[in-house]
Amino acid sequence: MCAPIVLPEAAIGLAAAHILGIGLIAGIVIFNSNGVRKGMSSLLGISDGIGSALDRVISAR
Amino acid sequence: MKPAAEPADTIYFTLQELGVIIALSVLAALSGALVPSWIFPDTTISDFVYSGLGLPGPGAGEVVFGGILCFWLLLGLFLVKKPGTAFAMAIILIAIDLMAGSQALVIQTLDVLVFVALIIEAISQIPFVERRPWSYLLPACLLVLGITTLAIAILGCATTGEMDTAVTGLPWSYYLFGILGLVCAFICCRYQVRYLLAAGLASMYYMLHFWLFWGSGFAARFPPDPVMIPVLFLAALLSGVVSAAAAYGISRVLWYLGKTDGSNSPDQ
Repeated sequence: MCAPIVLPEAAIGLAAAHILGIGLIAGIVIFNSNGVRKGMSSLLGISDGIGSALDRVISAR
Repeated sequence: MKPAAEPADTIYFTLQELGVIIALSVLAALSGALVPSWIFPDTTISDFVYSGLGLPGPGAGEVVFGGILCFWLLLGLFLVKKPGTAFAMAIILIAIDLMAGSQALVIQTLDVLVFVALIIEAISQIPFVERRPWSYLLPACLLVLGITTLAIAILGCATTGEMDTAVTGLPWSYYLFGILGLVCAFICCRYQVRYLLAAGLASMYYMLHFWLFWGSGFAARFPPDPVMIPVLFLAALLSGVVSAAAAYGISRVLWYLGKTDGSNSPDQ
């Protein structure tokens, strides 16, 4: 028989904030892959500018 | 001849660049949280900007926080030299704030980091802002806001604090910011660097975002006296310009120190 665990609202908020924070960092790591981003671009039909003229603006200076 | 490797097989930021981004984001979070309390141990930022500097409000504290944020985002952009650096730093900053900051549950206050980063990214990547007539945008803004601030001080309309209390003595901070605005306008006319415009506009947006979205309702924190808007915008613009100049200077020094290692120029 399971005893229900009731978390206080602050604990739920803190846990949610940590999950969101870790998720954001994981998102950066995942989207750092050119393959993932290229796949997303073709899926959405947009270009994120990688390898494009905009991509080279800073390095061109 | 074998074709070059497809970029799909690579990563955008190398591990070294990711390390720089994370390190700078941690420094940005630490400096945003710790530096103000270290510089002003006996007082708050609000006391400093209102009682110390005598600026009007609300939102004058952005002069400190916006400047710190723009400085680190631009330094990251200069060191990594890849589009998306400032955006990635903003996302990591939000993650750090969510996990370790006191404002973990106030999502509303975090979105401004992304917008500021996007403004810096966008303007830093537009080359034509350094050509006429766009190159005169920043000096013109500084000139107009500086003259307006000086006029407000001379006409005796200077106020301070969030309730816009009239300044009884000499509004020296108005004169200081006004003259600084004119001096920066002259310098920015001579050195048309788009990063100064990027940080200045991002800093101004930070303040606008505060006025519009950080109150109990839409525009709840808007300055009660609209005459004070140019003064606050000038303070924010100067904060961004000075922080961008500092970041640019540091990146030049780092480039100079690492020149013997064959590193590229910060402009490259």
